[in-house]
Amino acid sequence: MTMNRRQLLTGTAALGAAGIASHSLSAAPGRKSVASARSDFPWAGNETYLNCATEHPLGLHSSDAMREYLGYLTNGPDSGRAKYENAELQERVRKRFARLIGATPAEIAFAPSTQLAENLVLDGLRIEESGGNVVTNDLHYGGSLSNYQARKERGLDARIIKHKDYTIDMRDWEEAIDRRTKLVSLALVSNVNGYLDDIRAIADIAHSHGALVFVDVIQAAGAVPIDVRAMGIDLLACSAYKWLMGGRFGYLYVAKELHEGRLQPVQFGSKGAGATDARQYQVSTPNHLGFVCQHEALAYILELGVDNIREHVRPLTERLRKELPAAGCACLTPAGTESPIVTFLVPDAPRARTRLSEAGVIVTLRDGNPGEMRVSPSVFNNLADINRLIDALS
Amino acid sequence: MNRRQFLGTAAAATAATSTAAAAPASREVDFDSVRADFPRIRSEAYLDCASCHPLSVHSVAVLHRYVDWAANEVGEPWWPSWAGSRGDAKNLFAKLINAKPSEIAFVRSTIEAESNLLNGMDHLLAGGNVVTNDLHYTAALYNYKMRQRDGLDLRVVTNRDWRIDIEDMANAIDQETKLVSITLVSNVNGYLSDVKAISDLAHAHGAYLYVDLIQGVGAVPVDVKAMGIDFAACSTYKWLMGVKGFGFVYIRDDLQQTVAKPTQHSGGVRFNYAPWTTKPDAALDEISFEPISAPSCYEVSYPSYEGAICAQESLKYVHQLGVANIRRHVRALTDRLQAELPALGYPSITPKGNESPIVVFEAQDPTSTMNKVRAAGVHVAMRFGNKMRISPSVFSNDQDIDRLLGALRK
Repeated sequence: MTMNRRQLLTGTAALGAAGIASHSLSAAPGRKSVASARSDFPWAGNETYLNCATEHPLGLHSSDAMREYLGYLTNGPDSGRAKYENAELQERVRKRFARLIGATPAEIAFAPSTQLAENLVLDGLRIEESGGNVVTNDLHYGGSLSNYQARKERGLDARIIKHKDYTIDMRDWEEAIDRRTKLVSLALVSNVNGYLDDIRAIADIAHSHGALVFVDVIQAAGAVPIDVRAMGIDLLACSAYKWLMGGRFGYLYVAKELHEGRLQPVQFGSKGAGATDARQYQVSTPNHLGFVCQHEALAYILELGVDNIREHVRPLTERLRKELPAAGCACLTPAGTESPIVTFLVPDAPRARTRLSEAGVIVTLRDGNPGEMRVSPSVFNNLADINRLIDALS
Repeated sequence: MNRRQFLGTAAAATAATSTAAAAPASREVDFDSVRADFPRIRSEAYLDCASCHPLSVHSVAVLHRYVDWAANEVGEPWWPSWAGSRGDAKNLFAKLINAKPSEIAFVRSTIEAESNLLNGMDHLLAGGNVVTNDLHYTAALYNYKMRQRDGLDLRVVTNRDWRIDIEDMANAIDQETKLVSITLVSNVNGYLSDVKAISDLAHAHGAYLYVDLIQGVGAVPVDVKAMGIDFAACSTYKWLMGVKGFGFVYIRDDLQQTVAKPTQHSGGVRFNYAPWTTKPDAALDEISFEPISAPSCYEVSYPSYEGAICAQESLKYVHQLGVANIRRHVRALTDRLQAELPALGYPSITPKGNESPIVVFEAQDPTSTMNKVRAAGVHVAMRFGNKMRISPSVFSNDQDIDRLLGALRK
């Protein structure tokens, strides 16, 4: 792993007081493509990073903008800071995220994290008070399940469906959802094994019982096409530091039908004061460095196109599915899963860890014999990266 | 160049620019040298720290390191390497307000903290009342107003001549009062609350005291124990010299889990069935919640790393200068403004002898005043129509004040 001279200089030059040149706010559109994406992520030259389900590296477009913003915070002038801290820019980011998921900007609020947003939804729907139930499954994010389990221990009727062989059986949804169900909550793509649920079918069941659908898209947004209308999603949330390519920042989508009372705001601050659209659920000054990062990253993703990103990543995960079983690694991700995450059971995980480390390959690996290995390539990865992983384990 | 060498270089770069940061807290601080740490002053006389404090070269250095890391070599052991900063930031903040680290949790903002505390005290507030005053932060008042709409008995004491009369607070607080909520320093006119007196009143009636610290902590001494504060919160982008989207909440240890219940349900989950475990334990439920202990149970998700590392660096800086030294330095500047501005036709709405870094004056012609000030390369805030808010900090000096006074004499 090396850091080249140019990268080091980029970092340290900014330590001084000198202004930092950047093109970030005026980047010409239409020039970025999946074909050249590798050069937009300098990190790809330093390690074989196949771990974007944990944290996605920043693209140069984002890091340049963040450095420029930091320059203004340190050196002034205020007109520079205002370039990044203004209502127009916030509207643009809301628009970009809305476009990404097929919503309208009025349905988008900024939220600091997926979990905080999920809490705003659970508290704002007043489910506990209504005596209704919530249905979810055990491939949802562990932190969310912990949240549901905690609420269950306080009296909420929370029903957690168990996966069968790492998929959720549609009949189990049908059985668990009933007239008293207020909310069906799930991860669109599971952080465990990349399982992509049939959201349209689930939404149809939920809606036929008068329940709403909340989807955690942190492992999906940016990597998998999302259309809230076509998919029947009422509420959605995610943080940005995975497939949205960076920033401790996030979003909450609330369908406009819920704005007038069905979802109550439960935190109140200046940012949501007086708003009648989704901004009423927005509380306080966001992590602005994360916002600046997202302003660029969303533009980048939209420019590349999620379909193109998907096309690029599919052959990479398919190659893993084809090759790794021969190395004794069983796959826990159902065949044909349309997500960028594949999980395998690796015999003798400690030994695999050593070999991967020697090869400079980064994945998520849980110790054990076998141990779970989650591989999650993104737009900057190529077949050579995948081959390096396969070689290390063969 | 490997990771370790890179960090070594970055650290050396930080050390090379270090000036005041090297001064021990007990010693007299050379505030002239502090100016070198804030390049912001090279372009303007910046007197608006109550809006947003500029970053020091030390804080921005670690933030650039973060950006470099996230763009160039995100990968394990990336994550654990930031964990220490989070702990340090909590310790440094706890020390600053004389709390224990176990009484501090991360938040994204003051208002998020106050909202979560109120939600966690729902069980207590139902049937009782909350007393606050109109020099509290506007967004906080909005928070209470929305809850009043939902049935909360809210009492907002009105200021008299830009200060809160303790008698008025005494009249508003009664046996049904569950919470008194105030700001340490008002964002409106810099008014410094008599926290101890209000705390005594609240406690005498069995009520708790919440204090918004954002316009004070870092600039005025805070001692939660001596002041009798039960709950407090702040973001870091004002007098703690940090970035937006990161802050702290203080919850007195004996009030955790009981008076202020956690609302965010942070924790882990244990699956006690196959294939999650190969050896299910018959004595345990299939799924169980494993709560995180206090104070982390008041946090939800990971805080922004950038906020934590910046806070760590800037809190170190504040400690090294020493809040008493900072106060002494800034007092001389605001005293001058209080003495000289009224004679220029700008009456003060900040009480005399007020111990905060914010002074506010009324302008007869706000537009012309701001034009003059801007033309002289001075940055102040004009708020609520005609109220000129001036908020100098550690890097400000008499020449900055001269520049402002000179502009207003024109």
